[in-house]
Amino acid sequence: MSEKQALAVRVVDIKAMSPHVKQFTLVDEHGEALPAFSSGSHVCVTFGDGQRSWRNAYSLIGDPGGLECYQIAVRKGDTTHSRGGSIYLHEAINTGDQLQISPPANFFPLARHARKHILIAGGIGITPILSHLAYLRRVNASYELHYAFRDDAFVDAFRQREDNHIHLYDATAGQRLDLTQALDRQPLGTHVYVCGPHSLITATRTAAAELGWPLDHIHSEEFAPLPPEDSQPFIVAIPSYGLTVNVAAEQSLLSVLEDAGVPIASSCRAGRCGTCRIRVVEGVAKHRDQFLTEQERATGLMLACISRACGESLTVELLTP
Amino acid sequence: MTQSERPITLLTESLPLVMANSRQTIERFPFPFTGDQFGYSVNVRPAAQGSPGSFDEFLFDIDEHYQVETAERERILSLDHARRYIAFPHMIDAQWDFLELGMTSLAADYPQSFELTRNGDQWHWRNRLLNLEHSFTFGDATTLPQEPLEYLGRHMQGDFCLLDQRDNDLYLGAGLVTFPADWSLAFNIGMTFEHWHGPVPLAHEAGIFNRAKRFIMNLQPGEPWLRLNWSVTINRRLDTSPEISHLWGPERALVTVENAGNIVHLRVEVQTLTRLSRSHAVLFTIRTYLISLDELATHPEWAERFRRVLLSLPDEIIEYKGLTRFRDTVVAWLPESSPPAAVAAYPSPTH
Repeated sequence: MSEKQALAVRVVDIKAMSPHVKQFTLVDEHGEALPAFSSGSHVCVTFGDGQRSWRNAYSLIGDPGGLECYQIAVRKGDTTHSRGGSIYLHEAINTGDQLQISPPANFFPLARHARKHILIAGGIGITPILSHLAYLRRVNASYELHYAFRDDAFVDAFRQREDNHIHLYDATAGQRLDLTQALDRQPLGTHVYVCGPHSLITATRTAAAELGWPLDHIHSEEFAPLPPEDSQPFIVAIPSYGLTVNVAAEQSLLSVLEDAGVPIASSCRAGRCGTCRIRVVEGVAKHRDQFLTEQERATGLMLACISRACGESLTVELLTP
Repeated sequence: MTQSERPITLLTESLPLVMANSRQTIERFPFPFTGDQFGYSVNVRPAAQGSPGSFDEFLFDIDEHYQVETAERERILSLDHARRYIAFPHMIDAQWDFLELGMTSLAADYPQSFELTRNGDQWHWRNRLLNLEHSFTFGDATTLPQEPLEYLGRHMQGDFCLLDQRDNDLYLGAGLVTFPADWSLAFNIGMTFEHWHGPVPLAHEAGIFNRAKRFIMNLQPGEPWLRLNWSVTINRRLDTSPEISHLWGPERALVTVENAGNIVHLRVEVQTLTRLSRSHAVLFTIRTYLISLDELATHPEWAERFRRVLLSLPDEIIEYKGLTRFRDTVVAWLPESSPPAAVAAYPSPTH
């Protein structure tokens, strides 16, 4: 997403939802209405402390009907991928500060023709689910929410409102979400939206498959994709820039390239949109994205946000935009 | 906007339109060829980036044929509404997205002709060209005389389709289509993107539609794109739908070297693709421009380039575009000249 269309917004409210989660309310710097968005959308927030800069994707958690403000929720130290960005947002950003955001983009939309919608959230993965829930309530659609959590950042709001379509699972109280039970005996034409850690998404797909669900009715967004635990560091050479960079086990290639000043576009930062694709000219990529086809992978394309190296090093080139 | 065409009354539905292009309209014609050879490509570029007065200055182009085209749409809808306007219920959010985008764009781009007043969800729309106005509640379809897509579509030139994105595919979910180049909304509604384009030869094998589909599925709001498509139409007919092919089909047999300049028209579709904000649907617009060979030949470099492209066409494309009966006649009519030095500024490879 090019910088020219970045929106200047001002932080007008910061609310601590829990010791680890803050909710930021953003309005247009000039008091204009913000662009309309569809539920499931995210924005990329760009900010910096003068020495480092960050570009993190956050879901818009409000009702997509309102355009006076956007709301995002930031979990502190959520992922090592954010390279301290979420800590900076928590500690250094105050009401009145200005931030740059991209226009909303959506890689996790609702299936509008669905007869019923089942929302499944794990932890901070609740954030895109919140805007889906607000929309579905507004249009009187049929829905269920299953929310498994340790941090109770958004739970109070659910407890305050009587709604027998909401099912809460507090892991600290030993409550567990039984996915097979949640997905069994649902009407034909039901769609499922799951956001949370990789393990929750995999478990949802597995349970759905065992129950005979059509798998194209299962939609997922991996929240803040952590490098898998077996991630290894690797070295990447970009000859056209005369650069060689080290990608640590807990870093993404995209963030390392950005830190090195390499001009690389990105949007979802989660292997879904294909914006940050680059070409491998030497070495073997370990693909983790949901975007590239096998044929494209065979031509050397890889996504810098989420994919890694099979061996110790890669040589890559940027694609001309 | 100038109103140079003569208003006419169409006596029967078989009568082609009388809407000759003024000099000014010829100069802004979206001439689609930048090379001498036919070849497929996705060939997209950002929309609404054209120079002042050009066909792509704005997302929705209004030109001197506005009155004739809106009247022609009314006539077609009065005869065949059920097959020309179709919308699935789950596309209603996308319809409001379209109405908002269309009204705000037209009011901003053509303030002399269109005016939009918004007070919360109470909207007032005024169309000075058609002398129509209406107050309605945004989001409440019962306050409009037609559904939002049909209502505003009747105030605009071109055809409009809404594509629903789901199950990792694009589905034709709604359309107002009165001016199609030999395809039927009633037949294609509900189809996936690749099924919709099923009849196009050679392109599927080249992977064109798969690439185009993934490009469209990754569109983001605020970044509309444009591409040009072309075919040939006999007489100045905007409606060349299969539903009335008995009226326009036989006209293909009428082409002679004597009348080709007058009755053979290069038909160019300026197609735009826009991600809609609230619904995440995609708006696909098809704005059709017709230019007769006589008009085209006022730019000798256009005529020469068109002649060369026609000569380069594979047989499958000649058949698909419906040129079989008259391609050679048109080539014979088109004046042969020296290689075109520079042809107008459509920047990327097209056709």
